[in-house]
Amino acid sequence: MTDIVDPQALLSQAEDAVLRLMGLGADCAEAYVASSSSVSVDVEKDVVTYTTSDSEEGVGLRVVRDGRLGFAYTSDPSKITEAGRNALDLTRLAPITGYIFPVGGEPYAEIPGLDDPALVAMEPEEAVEMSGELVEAAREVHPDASVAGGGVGFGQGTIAVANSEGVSVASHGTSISVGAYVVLRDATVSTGFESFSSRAKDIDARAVGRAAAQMALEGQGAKALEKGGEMTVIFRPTALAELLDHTLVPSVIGDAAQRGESAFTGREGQQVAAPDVTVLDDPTIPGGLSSGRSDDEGVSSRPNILIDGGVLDGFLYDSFTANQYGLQSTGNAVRGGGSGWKTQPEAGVSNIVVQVPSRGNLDDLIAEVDRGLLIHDVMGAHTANMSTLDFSINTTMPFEVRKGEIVGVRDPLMLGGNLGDALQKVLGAGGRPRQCPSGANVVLPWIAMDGVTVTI
Amino acid sequence: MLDEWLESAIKGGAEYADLRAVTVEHTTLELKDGELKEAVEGQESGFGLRVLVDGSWGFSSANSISKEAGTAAVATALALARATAARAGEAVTLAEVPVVEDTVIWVPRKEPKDVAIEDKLEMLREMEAMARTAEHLATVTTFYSEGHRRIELLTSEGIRLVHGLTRVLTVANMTGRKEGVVSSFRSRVGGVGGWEVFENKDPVAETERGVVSLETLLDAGRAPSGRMTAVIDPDLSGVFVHEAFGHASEADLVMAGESILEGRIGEKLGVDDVTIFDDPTMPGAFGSFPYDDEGVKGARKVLMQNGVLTSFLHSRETAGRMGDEPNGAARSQDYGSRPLVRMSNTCLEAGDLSQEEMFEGISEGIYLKGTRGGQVDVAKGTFQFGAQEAFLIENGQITSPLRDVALMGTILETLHNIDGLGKEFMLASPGFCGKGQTVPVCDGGPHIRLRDAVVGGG
Repeated sequence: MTDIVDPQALLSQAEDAVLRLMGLGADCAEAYVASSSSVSVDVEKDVVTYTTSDSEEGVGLRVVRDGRLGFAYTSDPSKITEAGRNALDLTRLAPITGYIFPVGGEPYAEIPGLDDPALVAMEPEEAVEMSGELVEAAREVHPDASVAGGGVGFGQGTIAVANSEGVSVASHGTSISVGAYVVLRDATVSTGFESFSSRAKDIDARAVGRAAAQMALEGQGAKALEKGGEMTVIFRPTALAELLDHTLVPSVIGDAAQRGESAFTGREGQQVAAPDVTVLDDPTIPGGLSSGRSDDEGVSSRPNILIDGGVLDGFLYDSFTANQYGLQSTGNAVRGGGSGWKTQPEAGVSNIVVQVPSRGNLDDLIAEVDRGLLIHDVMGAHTANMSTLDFSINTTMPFEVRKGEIVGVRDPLMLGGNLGDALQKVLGAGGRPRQCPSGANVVLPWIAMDGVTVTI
Repeated sequence: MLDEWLESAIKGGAEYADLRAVTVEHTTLELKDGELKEAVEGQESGFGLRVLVDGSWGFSSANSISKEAGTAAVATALALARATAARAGEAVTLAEVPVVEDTVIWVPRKEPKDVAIEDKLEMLREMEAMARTAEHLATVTTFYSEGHRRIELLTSEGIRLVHGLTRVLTVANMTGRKEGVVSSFRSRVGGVGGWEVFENKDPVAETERGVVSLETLLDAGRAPSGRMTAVIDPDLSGVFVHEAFGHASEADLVMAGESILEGRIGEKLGVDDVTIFDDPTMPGAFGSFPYDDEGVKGARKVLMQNGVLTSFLHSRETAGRMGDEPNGAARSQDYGSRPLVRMSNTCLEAGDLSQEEMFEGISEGIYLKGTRGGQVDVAKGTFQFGAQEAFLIENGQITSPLRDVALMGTILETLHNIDGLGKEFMLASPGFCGKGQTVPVCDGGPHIRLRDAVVGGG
């Protein structure tokens, strides 16, 4: 596609920037340099409508002067001095915190599966071809299955972080994602979707198209659910991931916990989930969509247990918030927004892994449910209350389960409850865990929970 | 230089090309519990080049505006358009639009760059101090942002536009804790313009209103679930129109076969009182712009007139394909994104009910105020949104407060279930709309009374 931006070259650029900032009068300095390029192919109504490419680079600069922190960014490498002066100037507004950047010298583990040369070499034509296959595969399931939206996106990025305290680390990574949203107008209008993301060129576009069309086919002929009330809900991994992204994920951030915004504030050592539920943040997973050698301020990656056998174990910190509360960074500095150079690092998650004892495959899990729903999607997860974990969400294509079997698809419903209660009532898991990058990358299998109220 | 890039795209085989060069200057400040969390001044520029080769699109962008970047982008965009062609459908035809040469810079009445950053920070400190008057406040975050955007748009047909505007925004996010109950409330003030936006609507006064709401929420009970009559306040009715109707009227979704409104122009889909429009020319509104990202002048579009679907929102491509007039609804998040069909300021026209008449005769219902955001599945026509505040309505009176209430419905039923519109129109708080890309929007409307709404509590 395009040439790799050499991590070492970017690192030299970052190191030069640090020297420049020190020369301008910083007591401590840090430079984060990122360069990325991507191609995406958009499918609308069964045809490719657009192929787009984007390349960007930029530098985020942090400085400390007189114990005060400042930040500025620029997309123009020739303006580093100007941006550095801005960052130094902004320190005057900041409080004296005594914060300094992470100290280098820690070894960085190599994490396999994050960089695939086949994706670097991939041509846009190939992504167009995969998009065509996606559409064909959907149509093979049903001639009227139409891929209303979807496509293929792939890209690569190089990041480098250096600071005046000895941190110096760079890496290169690749990723690809393939998705399809299928509308089937047959006896009724039904929809289906599927998407997979990976760090390697190993996604079968046909499988994605087929799965989305299959879901739309199964969604035909929905009827109203006869009776609502509290029942068991089996969540598709992507659906629960979306709900967790707005409830559990913000609750495990140390700063939120310290300020009393988290539902888990003051509950370390307490039972917050069923005894066989374990949740960890693990940036070292081979091939993990949010894996990396270091976090976004150069602290080496390590797994952190958050909930151990149902008991709340701890929270996540970047170096700034850790310093604020007299703790150590957990290696969770994350820079948001695109390739990150426009924002300061904040504490965030990497890959959130949810472990629940497996009952076997999905059918085995369904077999254990006497009365409940199996749901593929949630709508409105962002309206959940992160402080109380109360949620009220909509699902558009629930399947009713009775006596261990799916008996049919139902009209859209509203699901309400409290995720804290539901976590205490986790029944079990089915199928293999998968990566679900909706917001945070949550890794989990199908999971069944009690304590959800269904409104029809 | 930019002209040359367009020329070389045409020489390279494009039948149409456009180029957007964008410069953005941004200042953000964030204060969390008295501490400065963020003070950022950044500058960014980049361009996006779009070409049409044999009826297929290619787009390439980069965030440096240089001769090398331009040359590379021309070659890439042409190659991508040819790649698209392998699996493309019917050739794209762009609807004709006036070839304009124009410069429109919306200069703020009070340039925020002339306000010292210390004074901006001081405003956040005052908002925080006001938030702290809430008896049970646990934590407060205040946020200020100011963005100056300048866009230069050139097309191979001869459009030459320079337009620019400034947007400002403040947010106060308050979380309160009382006897184990945790609730939060957010107030936003913002618009297209400068410091005058805050003189017209004082963020400190808005925070003060938020304090009252937060304390009320902390005493709120759980909402009932089920079907009931709902009254929606103007701050939420705009979001209701945006989610429950607006997205489905975006012609790119209609063309993709995703919208339930496909093929229904001229049909009566709502009660007589329902008139919905989208208008990027409303002075000072957060979603306003002078020209869209294809160089079409922003204009008021009536989407539904007295319950009858009258028009979709269009880009030049969707208008060309559907044989309609382009109406200036093509927007991109930034230089690196291609234009999509988007809303601007989406509003429901006011009706004739007084506040008392609105609630009259409701024996049991729910009153929803403010928004926590919403979502829609336009193919099935199902939408959902959350309210910031909610109250029970008993015998025509607003009674106990409720927390974490959401409303769901289906587009085709809901517009028929509106059985009353208030006579006072209000523009809602500024917002952002996500559709793969995020753009600033605003909504507005009167109070709405809705029969048979599906309401759920946490």
